[in-house]
Amino acid sequence: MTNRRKKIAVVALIAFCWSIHVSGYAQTNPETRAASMLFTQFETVAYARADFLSSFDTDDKEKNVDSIANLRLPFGEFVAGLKALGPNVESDLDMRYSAVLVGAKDFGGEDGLGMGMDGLGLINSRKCYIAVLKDGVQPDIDHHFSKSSSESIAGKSVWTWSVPQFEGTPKSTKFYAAQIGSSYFVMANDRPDFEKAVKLLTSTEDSLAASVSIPGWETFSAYKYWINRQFRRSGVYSLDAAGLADLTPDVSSLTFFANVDKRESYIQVRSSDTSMKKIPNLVRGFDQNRLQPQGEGIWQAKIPLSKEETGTDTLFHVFYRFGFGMAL
Amino acid sequence: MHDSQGNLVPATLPHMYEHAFRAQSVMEKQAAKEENRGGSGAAFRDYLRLKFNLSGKQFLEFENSSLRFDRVDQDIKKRIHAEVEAGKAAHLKTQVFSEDAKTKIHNLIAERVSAANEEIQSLHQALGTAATQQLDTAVVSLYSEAQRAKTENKSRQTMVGITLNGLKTKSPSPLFWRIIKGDDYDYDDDDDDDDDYDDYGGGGIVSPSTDYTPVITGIAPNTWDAGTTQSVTISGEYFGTNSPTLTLSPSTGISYTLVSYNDTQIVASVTVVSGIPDEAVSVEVTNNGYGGASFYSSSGSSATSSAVGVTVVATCFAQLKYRAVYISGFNSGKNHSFWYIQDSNGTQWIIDAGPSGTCPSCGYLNDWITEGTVSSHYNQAPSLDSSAASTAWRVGPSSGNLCKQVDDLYDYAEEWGDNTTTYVMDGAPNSNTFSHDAGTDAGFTTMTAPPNAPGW
Repeated sequence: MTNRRKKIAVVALIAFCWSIHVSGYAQTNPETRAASMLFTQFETVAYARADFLSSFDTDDKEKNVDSIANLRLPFGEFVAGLKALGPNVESDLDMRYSAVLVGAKDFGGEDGLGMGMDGLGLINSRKCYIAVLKDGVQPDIDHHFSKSSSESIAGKSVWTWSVPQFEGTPKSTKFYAAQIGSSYFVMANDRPDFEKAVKLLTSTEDSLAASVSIPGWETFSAYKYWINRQFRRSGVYSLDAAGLADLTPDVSSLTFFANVDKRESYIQVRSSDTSMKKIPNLVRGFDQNRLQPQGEGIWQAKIPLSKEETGTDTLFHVFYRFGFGMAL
Repeated sequence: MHDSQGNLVPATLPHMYEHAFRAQSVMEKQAAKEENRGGSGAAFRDYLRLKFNLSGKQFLEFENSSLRFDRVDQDIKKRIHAEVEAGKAAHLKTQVFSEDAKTKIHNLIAERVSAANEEIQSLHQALGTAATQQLDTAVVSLYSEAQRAKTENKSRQTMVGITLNGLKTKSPSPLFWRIIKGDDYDYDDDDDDDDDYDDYGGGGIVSPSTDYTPVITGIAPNTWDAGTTQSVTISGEYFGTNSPTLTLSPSTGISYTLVSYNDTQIVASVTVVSGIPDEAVSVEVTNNGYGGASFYSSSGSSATSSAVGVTVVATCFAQLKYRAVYISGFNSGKNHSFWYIQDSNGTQWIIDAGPSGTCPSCGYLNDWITEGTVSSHYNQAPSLDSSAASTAWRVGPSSGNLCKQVDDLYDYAEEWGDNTTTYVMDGAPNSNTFSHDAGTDAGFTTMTAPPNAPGW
């Protein structure tokens, strides 16, 4: 048996083993289970339908002005990491999986991965991506990882590979990836995060998959695209890099959800200040009066997904608040 | 030919045209004689047309010029004759013309040269560049043949008849023989004036004393923008009919190709490369001769003109560039903008800005000014700020106020205080803000924002 065949066999065996552990949760919603896991481990969690991610692979992003293009930003590293393996890897996975979630934390942290402020690009953070399978049968994607290495983590073999980091830095980002059970493809830029994600997704505890206890979950999870951030204010290395600059302490969470087909989106702010006397100063250049009370401590604004510079600028500032700020 | 002092001097184009005009006049007269005898004058009238290889329409212009010049020529001959006769009468004893008489005669000759020049200009205008060059060359050739024949001194008596253009004439006039055999110029029936004037100390009368050094009387335009190629017309005289040489000093970054040339006008396509600063440039014309023969340098004549100055004006431009910012290989859809400029010294610069690199304390908005077309800071693809990037807005190349504006933009970048302005991830100030503010400071009020450039 050649080394190549050995590697495929090992990976297949491991995938099989992990699937045994999670087989008892086949009746739960895999997307909810993935979101639930990410919310426990990360500060920001974003969700997008996989077909949406692959629908904006235009050649002229520089010149085309479209707010919707901003929505790909949280998944940029995921796309870049997979494209490094081959030009068709991302599109193939997008076809085979129904949705992709990303959890992000430690924005601009000292040990954060991705780019730092020494170059242009996305602010660095620790990220874990989970692609959720459409039909519960893991596809054979081994051939896409022929350029990757195999590394043993917790006694299991996973794919690893590195890509050059972002602009202006000689560092590289190392990715860890594996198919998990019958539902997931997990990829992370941090080994402990990867291990933890795999462990939780293969956990036998029911609590993980039962529900998501994030306020507003029932509303925003009905959309094909959403981001939620539960602001953490401890251990912040840089307020600006973390998207916290000028954010009042009463703001506890921020949610963005979009109906891409209708070119409509919403931002929802939750504040500990339930007096509703002061509109949170949330998005630079955004007319605060557009935020309307939605309940105690809840403000919401509708943002059209326009094809105008002002629209894309607004979303640029919105995504900054989720920890996806960019140095330009 | 000889000047009024008896010096051998190079024949000028007007002088050679006078010869050609007179030749045609003689042919016209010979043709008339033939016709009066019941024969055909066509061979004589067409002799020079065929020799010059001109079309009927083109030759008509030449014939008309010849006729007009002949009238002037005959008139002046009479007046010179009168002056010579008067001089002889007044100076029978001394046999020396007075200075006053010499001046009168010289003025009459100058009048004749002027008339020839007018006809040449008229002809050149009517014929166009290509035919003008052809005619100039043919006229020079006719003159040269005449000079050679004259030198060889062939005997006309051996020629009792001639077949010309397929027609035979049995009794050509002496004047006709002079044209065919190359005897020079005084085609009236009394040859005395030359000799008489010469005998009385006046020298030959074919031309006043003339300096045949090329003279530039005008260069248009006399301001040349760097970074452009333009048509330049040099006017003057004695440029020759062989391809003249232009000498430009300083010549760095300046080149030319000749478009057309004749004895009085040169049209050149002059290219001044981009990046040449404001400078004075001298232009000289070197006459390389007539009709294939080299310039004949006689006493007092130089083949090269005096220098005439033109001004090279630096052109400036400013281009607002932008490029995508990548996340590994992923195009983020957001752009970073910077400036590509050429200042009044003709120097090109990339001026860009970005985070200082002192994070994670988030750093400052610093700028980098790099001579050339590639940034010293963002210098590796895809993180590459170069002149090849997409252009959001541009102005120039142009001179004048634009150069001041571009210099102002450079000064803004030069005076930008590094490590003083906190870089902000949330839009502004970032590199796009810097580009915007630098352009605004330069007075670029019509700037258009780069697409997808938050912070602008």
